[in-house]
Amino acid sequence: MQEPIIRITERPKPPQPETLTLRFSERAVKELDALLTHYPDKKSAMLPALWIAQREYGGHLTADAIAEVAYRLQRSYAEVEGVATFYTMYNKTPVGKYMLEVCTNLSCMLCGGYRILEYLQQKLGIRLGETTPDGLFTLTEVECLNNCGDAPVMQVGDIYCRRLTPEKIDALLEQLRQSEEHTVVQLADAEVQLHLSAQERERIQQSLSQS
Amino acid sequence: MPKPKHAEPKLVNIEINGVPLQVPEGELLVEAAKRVQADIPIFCYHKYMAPVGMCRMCLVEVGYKQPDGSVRKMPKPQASCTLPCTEGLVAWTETEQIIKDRRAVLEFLLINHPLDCPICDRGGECPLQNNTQFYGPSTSRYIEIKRHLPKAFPLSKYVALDLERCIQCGRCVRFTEEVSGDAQLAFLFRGAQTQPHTFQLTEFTSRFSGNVIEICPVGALTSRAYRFRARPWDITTQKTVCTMCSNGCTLYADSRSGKVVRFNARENPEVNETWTCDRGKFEQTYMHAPDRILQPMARRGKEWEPLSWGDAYELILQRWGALSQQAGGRAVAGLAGHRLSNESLYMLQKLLRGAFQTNHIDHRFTRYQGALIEPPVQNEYRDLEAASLVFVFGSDLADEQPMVFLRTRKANRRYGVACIVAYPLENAVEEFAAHSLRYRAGSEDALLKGLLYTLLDMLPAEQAQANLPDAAWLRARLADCTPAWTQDQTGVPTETLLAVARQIADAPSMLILAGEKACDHPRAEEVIELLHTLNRLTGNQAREEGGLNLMPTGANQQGALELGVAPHLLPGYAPVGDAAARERFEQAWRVPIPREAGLSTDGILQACLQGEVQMLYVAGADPVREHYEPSLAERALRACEFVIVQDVRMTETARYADLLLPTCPFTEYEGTFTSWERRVQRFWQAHPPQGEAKADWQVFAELWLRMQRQAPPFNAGEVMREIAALVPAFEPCRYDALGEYGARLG
Amino acid sequence: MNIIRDVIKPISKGLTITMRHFLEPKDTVSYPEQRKEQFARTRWRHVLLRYENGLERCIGCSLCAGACPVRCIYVEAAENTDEERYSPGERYAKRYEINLLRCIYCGYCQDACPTGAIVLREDYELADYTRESFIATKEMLLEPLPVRDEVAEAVK
Repeated sequence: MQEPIIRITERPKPPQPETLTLRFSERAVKELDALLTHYPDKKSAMLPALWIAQREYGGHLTADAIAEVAYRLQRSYAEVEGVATFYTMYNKTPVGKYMLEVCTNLSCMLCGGYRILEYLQQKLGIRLGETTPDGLFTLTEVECLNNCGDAPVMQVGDIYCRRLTPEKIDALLEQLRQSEEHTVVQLADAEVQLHLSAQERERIQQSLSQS
Repeated sequence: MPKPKHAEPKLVNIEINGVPLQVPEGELLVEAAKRVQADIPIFCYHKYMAPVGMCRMCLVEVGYKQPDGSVRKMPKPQASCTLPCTEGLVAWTETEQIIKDRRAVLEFLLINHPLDCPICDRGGECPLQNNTQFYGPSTSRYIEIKRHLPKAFPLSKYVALDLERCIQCGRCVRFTEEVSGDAQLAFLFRGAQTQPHTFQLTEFTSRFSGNVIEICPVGALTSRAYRFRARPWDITTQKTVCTMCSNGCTLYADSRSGKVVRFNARENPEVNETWTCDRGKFEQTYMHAPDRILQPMARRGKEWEPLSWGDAYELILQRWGALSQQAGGRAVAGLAGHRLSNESLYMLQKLLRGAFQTNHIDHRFTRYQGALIEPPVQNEYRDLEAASLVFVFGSDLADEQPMVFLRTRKANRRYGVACIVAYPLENAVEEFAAHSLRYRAGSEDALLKGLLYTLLDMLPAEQAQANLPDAAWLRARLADCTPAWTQDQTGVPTETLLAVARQIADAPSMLILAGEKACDHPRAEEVIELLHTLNRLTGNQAREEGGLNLMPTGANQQGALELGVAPHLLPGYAPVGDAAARERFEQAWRVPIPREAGLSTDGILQACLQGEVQMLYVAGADPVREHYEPSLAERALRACEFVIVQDVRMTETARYADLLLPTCPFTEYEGTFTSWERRVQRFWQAHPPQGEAKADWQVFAELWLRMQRQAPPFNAGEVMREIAALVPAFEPCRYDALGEYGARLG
Repeated sequence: MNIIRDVIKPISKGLTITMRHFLEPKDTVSYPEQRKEQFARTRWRHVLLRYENGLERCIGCSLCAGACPVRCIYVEAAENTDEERYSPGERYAKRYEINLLRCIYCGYCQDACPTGAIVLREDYELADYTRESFIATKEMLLEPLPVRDEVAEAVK
C-alpha cells in the first residue's frame, strides 16, 4: 500500500476532558445532580442537561457547552451533539434576547401568518433566521403552536401573542425593547425547573443560600 | 444470564416461503431465512450488531399459525431484521407486495444518492448497487436536482466521508457506539439533513475506525489508503491471518499486480467476528516496504555483496564446518521472531537442535524468560463471554490486544460479564469496568500480594485450603501485605482493593488476562507466579471458562512456545531433559539432540558478548528493537563473529549482519499461525514473492538437506504433517483437516 | 484449325475485357502516398477523447478493463487536485495502457465507458517491430489538445 492520495488536511483532535473549561454554575451542578436521580442512567438526563447548558451558556449551545454536558454525563461528545442538533429548540447559533417565533402552519397561514412574518422582516430589517444587529431579536418560523383559534400567533419566550396585527406587533416590540428580560434564557430555566420537583427546587435554593 | 458457551437453544417451528424448518427461538427472521436460501436484501442489519430496522429494505410478509390451522397474516409487511422467530411464524419473502415495496424503498434511497458509481471505491462490491440491480426499479421518477454535500471529506488519516452517498443506515454510528464503544460518530441534524459525523468535525480517532469502511453499505465511508487504488475486478482476494498481534484475526488480502492494496476482515465467529483493528487493516504494510531485502547478501567490509542462495548456504556450511571442529553446537544460537509461521518455527528449532546440535534457541525478548511454571492453558474467545468476571491485569487491552478488547466489551455489554482492570494509566477498559485499579507503575507485585492477602482473609478457610494446599504458607509469606501496606506501595485505595477482592471472591469464575506490564516486569517471574497463585486460590485453575492467560504480543509467539522455540522445551512442551521425549524426536529426525537445556535470549546475548556464541542465527526477529534492553542486543550483535539475519526487510538488527537472507512476509507464502488462544489458523499465498525471497521454513529445510542429507519437506503442508505426527496437540491442524476457522490445539 | 476463329477472336475478346477494365476507375491506391477513406464506423485503434475545454473524458473508472474479454486494458487511477486537474470530478486515469497485441477490437470497452472517453477510431496502421511498442500508453491514446485558433477568436 502506498501513501494516501488525498493530501492530508489534518482534522483537529477532539478535546481531551482535562482541557475542557467547565462553566456550569454551582446552582447548575446542583440541579444536574438532582436530575440525575430521576433516571436509571446518565444518558437519560441529556435533554434537561442541555436545557441547563443552554441557560448557563447564555441562550445557545456552543461546542464548549456540548462538550461540558457530555463530560458531566459521561457520554461521547458526538452523541450529545447529535441530540442537541436534532431538537430545534436548542439553539446552535447565537440568538437575540427575544426569539420571535411566528407560526406559519395552516390556520395561521390562512389568517395571515406570512403577512406578519413579512411585516416583522421589514420592521426589523432582518431576514428569517437572522438576529438584529443590536442583538435583541431573532426571527424564526415555527410549526403549529396549538393556538389555532387565535391565529395568527407568535411566541416570544413563553409568552403567546395572539390575533396579531401590525399595530399589536409595534406595541409588543416597543414593550420588549423596554424590558430587561432575556426570554431565551428564561425559557431554558423554566424548562429546567419543570423537570425538578418542588422539594428539589427548595433544597437547591436552601443549599445555595447557605453557602 | 444465558451463558452462550453452554446454553442449549430451544427450537421452534416456522415456515418460510412454504418451507417448514426448525430454528432456535428468538433467532431473527432475516437470519432464519438464510437457512432456506431465501434472499432478503438488507442495508442496516448487521449480524454482529443489534438490529434497528432503519432502512426498511428487509420487509417481508408475516403471519402466525392459529390453533385451528389457519394462518393469520399481519396486515402490513414487517421488517425481518427486528422480528424474532416464535412458534408458528409463517413468512413470505417474494410476494408481489414485497417486490413492490423493495422497489419503492430503493427508489426512495436513490433519490439523493449520487450516481457516481464509476468513480466510487465501493462500485462493484456495493450492497446498494447489488440490491438495486436485483430488486430496484430500472429508472427513477425523480428528475429534480439532487442534494449536494462535501465529497471525500477526510475524517481521519484512514477514513474519508462522502456525505452525498450516505443512506443513513446508521451502521457506522451503531458500530462506534455498540462495538468499539467510543461513540465518536453520531447522526447530526434531522430529517433530510441527517448526517453521520464526529463532534464538531474533529478527527475520528477510534482504534477500530477501519471497520466502518467495511460495514458501510454504500461508498459513504471509504478508505483513504485504498482510494482509487483498484476496482473489485482488478484485484485477487486471498484468505490470510493478521500478523500485527497475537489475536489471530482472519483477513482477506486483496492484491493487484503482486501488491497488497488492502486488507478486509474475514468473518470468523470464533475470533474476530467481522472486525479488525486499524493496526491490522492499515498499518500492515511491511511487505511492500522500500527496504525489502531482495536477495542473499554477504558483508564485505562496509559493502553488501549479492550472493546466490547456493553460495549463501555454502557460506553457512563453511562457518559451521570450522566451528564444529572447535566448539561445536555450544557456539551456535538462534533467535526467532514472532511473525514466523508454525512450520518455520518448527523447522528452525529442528535445524538448530538436529543439525547445529544446540539448544540455544529462544523467541522471548521480554524480561520474562525463565522456565515456564506450568504449560499455559489458554482460554478462548468464547470463554470471555462464559466467564463471570474478566480480570485485565497490567495490559492496555485495547492497544495490546484489540480483538480481545472488543470481545471483552461485548461480553460485558451483552452477557453482563463483570470486568476489573488493573493498569497504571488511563485505558479504554475503564469505560465499562466495574473497578479500575490504577496502581503506581512497577508495583504490580505489591498489588497482587495485597490482593492475595485480602482474598485469603475473605475466602472461607476450607475453600482456600482446598484450592491451594499451601495456603497457610502463603498466608505466612504475605503476612505484611495488608491493604494499608498495599495502598502505601501501589497507591490503590484500601476500599477499592477490598471491593475488588470481594468481587473476585464472589465471582463463580474468573478469567485473567495478563499483559505486557506483567510479562515485561523487572520481577516478571514473581509477578507471574503470584498470578498463578491467584488463579489457583480462586479455583479457576480447574474451570473451563476461567483461568490465567499470559497474553503474547507477537503474532505467533504462542506458536513459538508450542513448537519448542525455547531453550528448555521441545515441541509440545516436552522438556529437553526428558530422555523419552528426546528419543521420540531423535528417532523422527534421525539425529541426536543435545540433552542439556540451552540459553535463553539474555543468556545468548551475554554469551555473544563473551565470545562463547560465535554464530547467531536471527530469523525474523529484531532484537535491537524488540529486546527490553536494546543496547545489550546491539553490543552482543556487534561482538558476535558471524550473524545470520533472515528477514523481510532491513531491520535495525540486519545492519549488524554478516549474512542477509531474504524471506517472504506472510502474504507471499502459506502456512499457519497460532493465536493467543492456541488456535491454529491457515493463511495462503496472496501474491508471488518479491525478488529471490523464500519462505522461512523453506530456507531451513534447504539447510537441513545440505547438512543432514535427508529428504526435506516440499511444502508447508508436509511440515505440518510432520509436526502433527510428533506433537499430539497438533493432530487437528493437518492442512486437510484444518477448517476455515482454524482449530484449537488439543 | 482456323487461326482467326480459334486464336485471334478469343484473345481479342479477352483483351477487350481487359481493356474495358483498364479504362474503368481504379479501386486500389498507391498506399503509402495515398490513403483510402475509412468507413464512418470503422473500429481500429482506440482513442481517448477530451471535452471541448481540453479536460480528459476518462475518469479512470476501470470499467473498460472490467468489460474487456481479453483483459488487455490496465488502468491506474489517481485523484485530481485543483492545481493539477486532468478531468472533471475527483478521479482521473494516471496510467492507461492497452496491449494492442491482445486486443481483439471488439469495442466492448467503448460500450462500457460511462463518459464516452474511449472510442475505437480509424487508425489502422498498427504494425510495428517490437512487442513493447504495442503497449499503447495514455499519451499515445489521448486525443491531442484542441489547438486554439487565435485568428478566428480575434475575428469574433
